[in-house]
Amino acid sequence: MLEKVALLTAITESKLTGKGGSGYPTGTKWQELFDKHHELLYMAINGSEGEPGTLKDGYILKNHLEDLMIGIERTYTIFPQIKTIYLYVRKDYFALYKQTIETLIQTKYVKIPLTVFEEPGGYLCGENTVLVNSIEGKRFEPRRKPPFLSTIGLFGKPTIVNNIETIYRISQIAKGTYDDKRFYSITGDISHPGVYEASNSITVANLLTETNNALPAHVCIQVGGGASGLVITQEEIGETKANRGTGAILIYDTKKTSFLDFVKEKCDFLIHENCGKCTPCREGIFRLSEMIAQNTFDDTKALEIAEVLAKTSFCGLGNGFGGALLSVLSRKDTLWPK
Amino acid sequence: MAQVTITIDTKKYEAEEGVNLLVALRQLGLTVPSLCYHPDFDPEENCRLCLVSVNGKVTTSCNQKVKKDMIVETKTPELLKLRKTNAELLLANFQGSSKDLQSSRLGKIADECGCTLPITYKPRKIDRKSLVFGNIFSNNLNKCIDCRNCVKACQSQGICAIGVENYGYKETIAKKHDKFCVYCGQCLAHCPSGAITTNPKEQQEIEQLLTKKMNKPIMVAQIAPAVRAAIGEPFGLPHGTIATEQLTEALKKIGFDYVFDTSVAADLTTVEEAKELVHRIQNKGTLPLFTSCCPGWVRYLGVYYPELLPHLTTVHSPQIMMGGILKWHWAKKIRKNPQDIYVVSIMPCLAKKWEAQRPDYFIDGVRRVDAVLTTVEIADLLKKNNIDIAKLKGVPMDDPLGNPTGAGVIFGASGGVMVSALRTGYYLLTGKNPEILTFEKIIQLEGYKTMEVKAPGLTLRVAAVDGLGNVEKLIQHKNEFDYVEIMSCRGGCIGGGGQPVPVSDDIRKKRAQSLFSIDEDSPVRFAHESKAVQALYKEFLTSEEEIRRICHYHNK
Repeated sequence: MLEKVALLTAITESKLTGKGGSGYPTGTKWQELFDKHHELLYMAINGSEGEPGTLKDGYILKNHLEDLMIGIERTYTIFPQIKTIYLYVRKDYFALYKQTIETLIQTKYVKIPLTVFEEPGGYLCGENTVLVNSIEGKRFEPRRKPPFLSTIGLFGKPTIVNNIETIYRISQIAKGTYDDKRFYSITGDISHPGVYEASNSITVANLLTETNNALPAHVCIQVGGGASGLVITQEEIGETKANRGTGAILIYDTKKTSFLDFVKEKCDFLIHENCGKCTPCREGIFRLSEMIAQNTFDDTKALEIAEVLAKTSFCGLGNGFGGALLSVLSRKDTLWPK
Repeated sequence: MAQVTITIDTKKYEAEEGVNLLVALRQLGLTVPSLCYHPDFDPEENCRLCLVSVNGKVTTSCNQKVKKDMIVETKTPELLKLRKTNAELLLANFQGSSKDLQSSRLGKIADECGCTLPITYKPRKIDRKSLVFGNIFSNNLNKCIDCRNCVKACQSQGICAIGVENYGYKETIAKKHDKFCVYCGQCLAHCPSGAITTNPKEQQEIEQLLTKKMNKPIMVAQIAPAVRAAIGEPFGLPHGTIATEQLTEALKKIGFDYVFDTSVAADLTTVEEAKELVHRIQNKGTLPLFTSCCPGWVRYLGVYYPELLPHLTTVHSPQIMMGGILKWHWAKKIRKNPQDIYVVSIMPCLAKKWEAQRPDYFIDGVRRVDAVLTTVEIADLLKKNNIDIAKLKGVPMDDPLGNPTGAGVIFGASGGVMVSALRTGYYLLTGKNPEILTFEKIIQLEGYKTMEVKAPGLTLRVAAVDGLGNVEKLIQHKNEFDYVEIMSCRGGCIGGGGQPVPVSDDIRKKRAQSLFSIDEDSPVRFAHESKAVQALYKEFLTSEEEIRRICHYHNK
């Protein structure tokens, strides 16, 4: 296996990007921490997996736990000054895997300061700064940036936060088996839902073909996640890369799901999964839900709200949902012809 | 920091590098609306109204810093539209007519964002119950726009009596039941939506009495030092304008029979407190001596550091002393009973309302002060009566008690009590006046300021704290001092919770500077040389027993 400097170089050269949604180059992030921050560090591995339609973190915990542990161990060799590594997982994963992981730590990875941490909240806690606040026992809401977590993170110290899949990919890079693939979670009105591994550069069309999935005749596809993913039409699947967000692909049969059903599903989720800090999320999502409930949905108003969400929200959760809304609103007539 | 060139709406400007962009834009005279930004705090970035574009990207300006060559746009159609949408979402919670909106602090924001009523959305917080803080003030949550400035104000005071609860649209400000509000009123002074208001009961009672035709009590007002430096502001006068005589005239116009200066009692407080300090020094009593003129602090000490109560001076605050003097001394001079006199204090403070109600401060079951109005409340009352202070020439305050010294007036600014007490304490210890002590001699430390005066054989070390959030730091160092002045609010009373808004360190400085200039121009600057104080000791406070009854707290 590669030693730390060689591994760090290999990560940069692999062009691995974060698999939690933002897609930031892992090599760049780590190299900066490696060069600048020699003092006490914390690490959190994000297994919150709150983005609707995403199943890959659970899939890795179930099927590739040993490799994930190798990834963690290799990460620790690069950053031996890390005081605690939090494996931060949502409640159901915690219940399922805590025991197994702890046994692994006690038997094979005694030297790694790894703690399995149960996510105390929901979708919100998947945002990296909210995650950090939640570990510290603070209110679940995003922090101002800067300072970035790499400078002031957990307990005021430089902190690395990476997604479970990113660390799993690190194990492959360390072993020399990384072949530029990621996991895609395909769900919805489709014949073969599930988690599939495929190239980072695959199009949605090819991914569906490779996984033997045929689309319904009238369909709306959301790429990248059920809350923040881009909504596209069937015509766009050949030119749209599947590698967006968390890699979740959601398929909606538009004969079964109306436009309002679709927006309602998203709003029902986000009205309970926003922190309340900023105006667009707190007020905007409430007004969208209100318009749906009172049967007064107005495309112009919805577009106004989608724009403030996308462009003026405090954190990525609002931005992402705004982007999703803008994409569905602009394709409404194609997806649901009158 | 260096001056750099930045481009704003295609024009070049010079701005200080590293400065908050929103602040820089406003300093350049440009309009950028915002609700949650307050110069006292780090930006919270909640309201999303101060939108600009920086190098082509939409962002809030309160979280940006001025950088060399940055290209800023403030009024593109896109920005105007985004601001308007966010403003509508926020103002949807405003309940009231267009006229109400215009008269509230939100009116300006609505204008700047191009919002008009009625807004398409209906208020969604109608059912929210108010948070009530004693009978002093309340937070009407149905008007709250979730900026959280009240929470930050309470945090900065180190109290955290309120916090944010729940998430999303259910988010709300809530009381923390294990914490205790001390009525400093900083939440009110930092609320941009007008949701936090003082209890209107006292104002209503005063209005009723002032307009009474029959059996009207003798209506007496006393004006605290800090009020004179801020009362002009609601009437458009520049920050720090001294309007003592205009306020006096205005009060007479609405029906007050007499108007007195609380600063006179402040001189008496200084003399009594200096006596107590000297006594404690000479008799190895509990030191340092803590001041008691700030009721927010007294309440705070009692709740959070009860073990330190022996440090608190037994001397009453100027407001309470003044009430005692007016009802039990001056009343006799005009041949009235205490009960015939109705004393209204005009104070920069909410906690003064609580202080005036304390039954253990009553004399023979009679309140010394019957009601307290804040600077903001009296400004409202005057406006209701169509009186514009800016247009009045002013009349002198009533004289029977004489003029205050400069030392009595600076009570209104942080450090003022400390300086006044040192001037007199030195005299009491040495029999001589020190050279005039001024604020230039103050040394600013982290969280508090100190000063020392060398007298023969003794060095007096004193400290002053402003902002309850700094008390903890001082308490760790308390043994280094003989005397400590503590004021709940930043800047002292001139920054009190009952003072006009907006407020910022610049504004506080201007108000304080005005009080200092009164001191500098005063013919008498030592409290013990006050003619009024000397007369009081000669005519009224003639026995230890009477001094104790009027000037000291003795209900331990």
